[in-house]
Amino acid sequence: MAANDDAEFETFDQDNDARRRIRSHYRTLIQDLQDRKDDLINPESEELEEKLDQINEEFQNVKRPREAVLDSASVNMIANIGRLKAQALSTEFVRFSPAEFASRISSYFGCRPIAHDEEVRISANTWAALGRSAAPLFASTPPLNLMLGSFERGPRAVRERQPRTQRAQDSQNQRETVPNQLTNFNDGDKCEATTEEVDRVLKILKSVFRKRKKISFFEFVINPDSFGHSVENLFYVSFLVRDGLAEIFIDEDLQIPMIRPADSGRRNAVSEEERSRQRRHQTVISLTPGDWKKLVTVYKVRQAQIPPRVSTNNGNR
Amino acid sequence: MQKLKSSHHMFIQAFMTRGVMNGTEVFNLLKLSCEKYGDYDEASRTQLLLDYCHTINSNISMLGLEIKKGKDETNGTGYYGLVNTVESNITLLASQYTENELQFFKMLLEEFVKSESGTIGSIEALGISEKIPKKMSKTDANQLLDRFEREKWIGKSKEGRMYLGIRGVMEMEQYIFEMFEDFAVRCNMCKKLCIQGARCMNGECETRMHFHCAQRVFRGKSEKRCPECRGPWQESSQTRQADQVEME
Repeated sequence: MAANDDAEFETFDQDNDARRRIRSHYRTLIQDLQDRKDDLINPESEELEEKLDQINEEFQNVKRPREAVLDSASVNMIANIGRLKAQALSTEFVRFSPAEFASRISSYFGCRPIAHDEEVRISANTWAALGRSAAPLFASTPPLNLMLGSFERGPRAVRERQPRTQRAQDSQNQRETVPNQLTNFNDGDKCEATTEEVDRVLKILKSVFRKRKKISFFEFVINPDSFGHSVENLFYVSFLVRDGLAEIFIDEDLQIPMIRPADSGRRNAVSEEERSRQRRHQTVISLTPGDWKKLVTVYKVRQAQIPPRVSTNNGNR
Repeated sequence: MQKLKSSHHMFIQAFMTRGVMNGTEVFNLLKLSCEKYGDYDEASRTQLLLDYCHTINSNISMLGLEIKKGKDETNGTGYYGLVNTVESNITLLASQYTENELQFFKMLLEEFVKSESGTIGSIEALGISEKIPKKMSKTDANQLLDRFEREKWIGKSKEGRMYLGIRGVMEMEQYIFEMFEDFAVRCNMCKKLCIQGARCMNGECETRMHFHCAQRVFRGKSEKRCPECRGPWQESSQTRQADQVEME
């Protein structure tokens, strides 16, 4: 490296005359390229390559940016002309025919040549061999894939140290109720079918409550035969809870969620204004098919307490 | 500094394509490169590998690259990888991922480091598509995660949990220590970054070890005690995974 630097320094003071000569060479070349463009485009002629060779030779003498700019301008022109030349190349009589390609592949690898419409199996090894023999034609270098340094660092993450006291196994129960986002609060004039269904579920809830007095929430909601139904039931029950028509609570003895209709000694449907004045408690219950199966086993749900409705105009059953 | 021969070039190019390779693959590559261009001696292959790595590293260090050794956190398998070690204006241009995708990766890293187990569920991972500056659809996020997995930046367990893969750990280790100082932990045994690992059950004690490191420490011992505080050590089915694999 050091030796090269010295050499460059010496020839840095290139003779102005020499430089002028180089520049005029380049300008003649560029002029020539422009004038004789049509000749050069002709795929038959080799002249374009000759021009490129000339320029490469001239570049050996270039030491300063000003001449280098002329050099790059001329190479740029050659590249453009080269592109036009490639486009002008007539490929009329050399068309790609997939059938012929396929038969050539199979004969190349010693399988019998395919007749028209025949299907031949080519083994994985043969494909691999094809790849290997074609590989030398694509002399590509692999790119370097980085991750570090490919993005800006940004601010550092600092945290207030929370004392990590209990690292006991997290209780499975906590998974189901996670306080999260707002559930949608407007009915508007959306499907009356929903309101109908909600009423139906309320009626079922009341009748079951009359008989049993204690209803386990999941036993009520889960349909052991259909995951989709169970989710629907949860959906309708959520409306009931929202409107204050049903309550979900944890039974003190059994420590499981229970449900009961709200008019057992309490007020009826909550009006719009009252609802907005109350503090909102929100819960998101998530139910995956896996959870659902576990619940069916654990709660030993044998029969759906909310019988599925007869399908009317809903096509997705 | 020894100059690189063609066999070295072939070795490096294989790493450029594949990113990381395990012990068997590396020795195969070494054999191929040497036999094609020079001489290969099976008996001294370990030393030969070391020499190769050493020569290559001294030549490519000026480019900020290095061939490093690392261990997969899930099973202790040893890997060799070509990683980048400097961040510069040039590296900002060098990635094949879009800026948005890189932001995704950045947040993904954060999630991994901040999580308790070093893993996150796939739904959480997809949720990151909402947090990046330009939102990404879930399908695109899914494809991006698959792409990260193919290139070994992240890994996916058979339960569908995602974790920082061997390549991610090797390349981003320094970054993680510097950016997440309060969260990143060193393995008590090997002193390297430990994202997935077992921990001491004593509330006060922050000691952690890789599963494969812990398995070494507790080999032959009937009771597992934390090396720092002598408290009870985490029992987990994970330790059995490390039993199966041994680094050569």
